[in-house]
Amino acid sequence: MASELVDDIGAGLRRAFAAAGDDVEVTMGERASAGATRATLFAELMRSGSGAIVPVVVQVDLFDDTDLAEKRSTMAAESACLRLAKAAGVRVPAVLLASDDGTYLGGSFTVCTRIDGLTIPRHILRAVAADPGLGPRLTYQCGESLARLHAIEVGDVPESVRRLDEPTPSAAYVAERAEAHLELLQPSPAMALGLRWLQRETPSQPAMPSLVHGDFRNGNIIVDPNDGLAAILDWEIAHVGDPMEDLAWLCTRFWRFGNDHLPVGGFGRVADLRAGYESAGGVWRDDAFQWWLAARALWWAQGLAGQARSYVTGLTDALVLAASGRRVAEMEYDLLMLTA
Amino acid sequence: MSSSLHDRPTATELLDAVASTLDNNVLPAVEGGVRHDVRVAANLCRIIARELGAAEAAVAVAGRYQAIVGDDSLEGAELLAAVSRMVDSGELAGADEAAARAAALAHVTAKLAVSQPGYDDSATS
Repeated sequence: MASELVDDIGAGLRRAFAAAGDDVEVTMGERASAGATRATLFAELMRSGSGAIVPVVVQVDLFDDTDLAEKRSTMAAESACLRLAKAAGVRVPAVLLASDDGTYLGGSFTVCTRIDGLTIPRHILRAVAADPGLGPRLTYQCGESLARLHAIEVGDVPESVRRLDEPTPSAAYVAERAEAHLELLQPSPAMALGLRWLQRETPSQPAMPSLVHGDFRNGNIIVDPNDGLAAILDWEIAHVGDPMEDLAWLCTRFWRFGNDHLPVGGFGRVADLRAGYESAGGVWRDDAFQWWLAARALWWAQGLAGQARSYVTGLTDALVLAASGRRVAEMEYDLLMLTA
Repeated sequence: MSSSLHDRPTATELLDAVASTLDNNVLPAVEGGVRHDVRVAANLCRIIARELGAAEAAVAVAGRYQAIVGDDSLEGAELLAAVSRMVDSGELAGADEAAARAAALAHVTAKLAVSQPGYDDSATS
């Protein structure tokens, strides 16, 4: 069900901080983006009595449940993952406040520190093209950060974070894909064939399931043109599963934005990603990498078809989501190539 | 020769005109998130224009699927559903599954020729 932002976000934020025992002044900045499922806003906080100004990003969930996206964690669970990741040395923003209480802003929300850098994929690729050292550095750092994330003790992950590991991560994932396959607005022989392949081929399994970001790709990272990876964003579909899922998704062609000669997000080589991952203790399983490339291709084919469905059924009037219907073929093509 | 009863410009010509107007006149005049919407709208016009010229390719794909299900009366979503059901049920094996895969690839390639020409020219991984 959709909800709406409250009129005075600043006042709502002040009340939310006060309820948490923090007395702050809030100055609202511009609205950064109005995604289909959540609003992102910029603000500045000033603690009463201190002159220090903290730039923050406020994200408000505007759907309790939606078929626009994967089933998602609550904001509180998501920020618990962020805190675990930060403690493990993953580059992420600091969470200042998180709540599933919709009475303050109109939906559950998080307030995180704002980190400077590039976020728009084409800007990142332009910076990489301008500096030969940036792409390899960024790629290696992505591997390092993922290895640190995947080393987090799964027992520390909150109960409310989805677990996709029974009986194995790949089997749980295929079961979800089979379910989503039945909900397609338009039947797809290519997706049916891809699903059959995934059901038939079984990848090697991780020694232990891990906390997986789930949407780690070019578009969900902040890049400092001098230092490389500054932060990993958008933890809304973090879950417990196979770590190779994250590495495969980062290398999915869709997120290379046409820069296909660099498979890792359009900015790097798989060898550098793997080197960074292994340097921080990650275990790279190549057969699982290939399997998860195909699995995530099917997931995203279904995801794009789901966005189109949400337009066709009147759940959204966003043109971009309508247009997603005409991008399904790209994922179907990749899926057929990956499962040939 | 077009079979349309309507006056020139044709539907395709008008879609090209709308796309050019969006790109050349509207895009420079707007800011923020709307810019992305304008680009998407222009791209959709070009996709529809290509789709209007791709009827023959669609018929060829349908023929391949009809051969697999053994029923040339099925069309559109019903035809796709029939092929998908055969794949889902596992009744296609060996050469039959290979034929279904070849037909699906022809189908996807035909869709890409409309939605994203050139996508199937390069390697995926």
